[in-house]
Amino acid sequence: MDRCDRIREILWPLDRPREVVEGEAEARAHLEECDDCRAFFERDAMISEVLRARGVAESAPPDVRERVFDALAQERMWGGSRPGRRTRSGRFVVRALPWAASVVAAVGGLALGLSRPPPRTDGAFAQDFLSRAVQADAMAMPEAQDVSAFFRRELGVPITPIVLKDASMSQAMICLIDGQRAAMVEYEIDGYTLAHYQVPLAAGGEVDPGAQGLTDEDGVCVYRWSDGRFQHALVSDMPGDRLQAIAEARFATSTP
Amino acid sequence: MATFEEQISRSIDEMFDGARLMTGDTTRGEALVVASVVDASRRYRREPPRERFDRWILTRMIRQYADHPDLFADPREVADGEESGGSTFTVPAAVGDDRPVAESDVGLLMARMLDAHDHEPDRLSDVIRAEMAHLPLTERIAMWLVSVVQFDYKSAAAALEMGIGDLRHVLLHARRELQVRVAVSLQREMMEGSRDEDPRWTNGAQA
Repeated sequence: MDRCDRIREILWPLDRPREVVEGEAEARAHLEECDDCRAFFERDAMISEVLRARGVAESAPPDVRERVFDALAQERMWGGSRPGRRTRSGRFVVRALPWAASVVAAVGGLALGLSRPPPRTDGAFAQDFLSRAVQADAMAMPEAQDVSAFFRRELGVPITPIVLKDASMSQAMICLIDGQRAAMVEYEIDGYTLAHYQVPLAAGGEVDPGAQGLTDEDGVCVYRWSDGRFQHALVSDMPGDRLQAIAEARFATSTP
Repeated sequence: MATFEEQISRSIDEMFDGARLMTGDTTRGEALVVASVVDASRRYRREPPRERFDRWILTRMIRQYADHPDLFADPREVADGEESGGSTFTVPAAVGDDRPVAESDVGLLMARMLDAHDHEPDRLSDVIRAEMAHLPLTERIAMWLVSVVQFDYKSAAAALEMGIGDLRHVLLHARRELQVRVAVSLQREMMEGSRDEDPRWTNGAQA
């Protein structure tokens, strides 16, 4: 290796912190005198500046994010042993859902007792995931059979939307509760909005009985129960007693 | 403390960018990201990393690639690796010997680069990224780690499982090769007349 090459190795990057090696002073003296080396470093600096300023060439597309989190969900539920990968089809609507985001924030503690780290109660990460990680893939005004197929495809498990008297289904979406992918179906009922969340439970996962039942969180009512396969939550701006009546009817039919 | 999923969400753009650069292909890149995340989630459950998560996960991805070149690498590079003894990451034998280019020629062409930098920064950025993808595997990963995702030498050398001296050697080779490639690419654009309508380029070519 000639002297110029040696100098170009040990002085780079000129403009960033680096480990000083033996011969640094000599190398700098050489740089003062060598036009070729100075020109080389100038070109280097320009390329580095462009690469640094640009950062990554392209963000990961939503599909890639989906498949990554789907693989993580499969790993969590099946230990990676479940064969086959879902393929993405159908038409999904990506929408901003501020109400849903605030509801998810309110149920930030939904996954309590799933043998996972304690949940965050401020809901900030759930909102973050809603807006960035999953980008709120949703079906607007869906039919029940389409919702089942949507959740099976997205979560890898069969989830059937509940049927509520006098309620119309307004949308179905995938969300993340405490970092775990979950299903949410939203209904309109007598001018109220009601959301039903279903978080798949890990094999052998247990639910804290103390975290079940009706609570008021940030102005919305939340009713939680578990059926052994899913942690459920109904969340609504309707009065608590009415939500409880709906929830207990569902609880009675879904408890094994 | 942020969950594993949260941290993956923050790092996924860098992972996908690096995976595409390593594999040379979007589909193989995606497969590498997915496999790396699943593998990392198991390791994370056993023992969360003590180092920065973003560096840890990118290092895990590079190791995943190195452990399974048959799954993720460009088949042409797998063949090259077999010819050179099967090692995934290699240190070039001699800097610049395989592609001698006169400093003066590169310097002249780099004047074009300066001009592009001033007038068409996005175009120059595209050219640099495109040419970086044509560097040999070890060089392009080393360059990406240090120049794009800002690894320090120690972390980059550890990711590539080589000493810092070898990393310096690889990087010098990569920087030199990249300068030449960018210069040649810009020159080719001029020769092909893609800038005929722009007096900056035509005047420059005649000068």
